[in-house]
Amino acid sequence: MTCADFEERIALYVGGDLTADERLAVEDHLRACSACAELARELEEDRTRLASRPPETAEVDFAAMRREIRRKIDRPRWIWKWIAAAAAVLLAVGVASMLRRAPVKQAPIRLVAAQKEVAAVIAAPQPKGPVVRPRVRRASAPEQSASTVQIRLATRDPNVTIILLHETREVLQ
Amino acid sequence: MDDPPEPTVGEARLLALAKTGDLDAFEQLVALHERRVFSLALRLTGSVEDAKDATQEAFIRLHRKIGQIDSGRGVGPWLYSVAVNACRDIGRERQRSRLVAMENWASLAAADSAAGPEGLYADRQREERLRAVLHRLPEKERAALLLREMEGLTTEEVARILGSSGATVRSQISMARLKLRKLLRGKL
Repeated sequence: MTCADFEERIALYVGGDLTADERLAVEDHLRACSACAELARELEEDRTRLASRPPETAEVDFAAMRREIRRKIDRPRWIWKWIAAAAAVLLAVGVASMLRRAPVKQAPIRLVAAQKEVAAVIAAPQPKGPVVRPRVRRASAPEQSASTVQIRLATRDPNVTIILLHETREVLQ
Repeated sequence: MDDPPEPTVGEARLLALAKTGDLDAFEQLVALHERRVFSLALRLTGSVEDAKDATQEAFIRLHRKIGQIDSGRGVGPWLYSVAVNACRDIGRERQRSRLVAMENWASLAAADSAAGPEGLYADRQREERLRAVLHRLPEKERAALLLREMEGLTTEEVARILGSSGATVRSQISMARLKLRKLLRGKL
């Protein structure tokens, strides 16, 4: 191994970050190489410099910093209390207005018998889905001279049923 | 170098009280750790104001997540992890808003370390220069080196805090030490 190969290991060696085998190999090399021994000495010096003196902290007012931290921690608590109170008021108002509201009226069943109204319904846009074929039911009154045909169109809307009535009268001579 | 902070009986009690919502206990917990967190943040960000912001942010995040802190491990490791992330966030914000004049750091780093008389002024000069040089290291290498050297954490602990593998952190620490040596001696 060359000195360049040892550099990284020496950097770990000074911090005690090598395994026992690695440490022995580095120590052998340091005994034989003065340049690497100098490198190890400088690295050790830098470590001491970094670790021995903490940075200057005298200029910092830690008591003021603690007050500021406490203020920032306290503030959200008050905000949440206000939000909770506002939510409770809104909920109460909402419940009260729901209780006063009149019961929902059911949509009236539309029975369309007149031809004009049938036309209007047929012209309206049809809901998507399978085509519903009309069920044709003949309702004849045998005792009457007139016969009536009733065609009931069931749509997808259960509230809408289209009823076509056709009456045929025989003219007695 | 100070030993890494370990959960003491006092800290464990304060943590338990803080978890119940006791703000006075939480404030005492802050007082226990604020200097270490600030020191780390100062060397990570290179700016007193940014370090103050990062320290505050770390403790606010601690308060938000205090229920998740493992009482057996104490607040320290979690706090360092959050502080490193807060420093990263602030660093990104500064880069976006271009508030950091990088040329100032570069000129400080290039200055001769022997400048100035001995004593307090010289100490401060050395500290400022060290901060400037540290700031020229890549972010992850800087964080790994500082947690290892300043806080005396093991490689495995640093890896946990940074969310990296042990092998990656070893490599980052090694590279950071070599670069720091060159930067401090004007060889890089």
